Amino acid sequence: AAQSSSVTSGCKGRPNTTTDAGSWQTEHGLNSAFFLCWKGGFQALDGDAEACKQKIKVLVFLSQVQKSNSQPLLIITRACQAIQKLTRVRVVDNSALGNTPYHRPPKCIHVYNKTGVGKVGDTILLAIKGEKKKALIVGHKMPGPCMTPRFDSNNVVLIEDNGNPIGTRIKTPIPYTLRQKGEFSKVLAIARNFV
Amino acid sequence: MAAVAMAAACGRLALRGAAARPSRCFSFSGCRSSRDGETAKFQPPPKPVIIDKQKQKEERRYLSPEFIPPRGRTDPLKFYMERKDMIQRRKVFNIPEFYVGSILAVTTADPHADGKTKRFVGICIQRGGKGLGATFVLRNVIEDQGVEICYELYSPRIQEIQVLKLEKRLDDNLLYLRDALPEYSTFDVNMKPESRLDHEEIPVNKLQVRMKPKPWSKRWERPKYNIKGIKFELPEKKMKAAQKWSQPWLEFDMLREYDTSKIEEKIWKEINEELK
Repeated sequence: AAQSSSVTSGCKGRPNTTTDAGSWQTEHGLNSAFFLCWKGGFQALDGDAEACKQKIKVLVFLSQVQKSNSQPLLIITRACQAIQKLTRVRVVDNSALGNTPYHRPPKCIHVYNKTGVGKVGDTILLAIKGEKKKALIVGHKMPGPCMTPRFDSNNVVLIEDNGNPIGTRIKTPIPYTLRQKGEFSKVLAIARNFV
Repeated sequence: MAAVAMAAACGRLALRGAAARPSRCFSFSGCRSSRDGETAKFQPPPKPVIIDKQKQKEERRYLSPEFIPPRGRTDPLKFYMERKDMIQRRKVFNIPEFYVGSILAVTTADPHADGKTKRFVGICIQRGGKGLGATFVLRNVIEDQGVEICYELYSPRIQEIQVLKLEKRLDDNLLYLRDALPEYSTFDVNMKPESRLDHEEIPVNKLQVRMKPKPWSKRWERPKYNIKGIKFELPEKKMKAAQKWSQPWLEFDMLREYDTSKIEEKIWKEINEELK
């Protein structure tokens, strides 16, 4: 009874923590088993010592299986929030290619940049309606330097290889910082609103 | 009022030493006697000072949150020096009082903009940073596109901050407006500034915002965010499940306590002296 109470008190006192499967057997006692079990959430324990012991047996088995794989259960990698390969983008001009519906959203397949991350003013290659098209990034969800606007969607304007825009009008607001690079004057000419 | 002004003028001149005046004439009578000597001219009685009792009672003290130093072990000299710079900037440029939820219009200098200046109108959703790096984020929806701009309060690029509507909201930051219906973030760019009396209390807008369908950028229903300004239309089961993540011991945690009342008093006195 004493054992179970110590175990229960240990669980209730601690918030969500994760311990890797390998170390718990050697370093920690019974308590850590419950931290493993309740990785994602935090649940109240039932005071039943027998049920706890059974759960631990299951965990031991699982951890042994894990050890053999030597791979974590969950792989959570936080991607950088600007535009990179396979990001879905929103075409913002009034071109036919960008506005006709298709069963797949337009996705970025290459960024013309040393790093694979595209910010405002970078050219990318899009896959739209089964064809490849170059595009210019005019806004992204990632917060940039101070005083620059941050948009709620990743906006993109379709472009030819020589830099001429395909559409004739851009209704959504475009950041003023695009004027810095002189090669987008034609895109800026068709833009209506600036931010 | 006239007596006070004269005394103040005497005091300032004495300090600067601009003209040959008898030193240390702080009082009105003192100035007079040193000049006139024997022939005492007729002195009219001082004008009655009208004290507006209502104004005196409701003298609101507003200390901008970036003046309050964060809790930590840094030398207070650093914050003092920053405050000096902040006061210098405020003397030159007027930073009005505003809260999260008020609608502002900011004009900044931009070399790439037409006419070198650009104006942005939006609702303040967040005020962050302390000292000279204090920032505020304005949000607006233009042509069905949500735009947010983070401005630094003390940046020399900012030319004008105009408060179009001064009000508070139920929450400290309105980041949930990103997941709310766009009508709650749209504000007219040509909005006229609202006039209000000085001594009135700042209105609290108890608006309950309706959200877009889930998934949201953050799980706003969780008690960690403690949001009161959303009208949750989720089923009861989900609201109860969210309470699982509540940490009711946090409010009793003594190590997290940070009582700023005394610090605020000191800083308020310091700033008021400089900015008068």
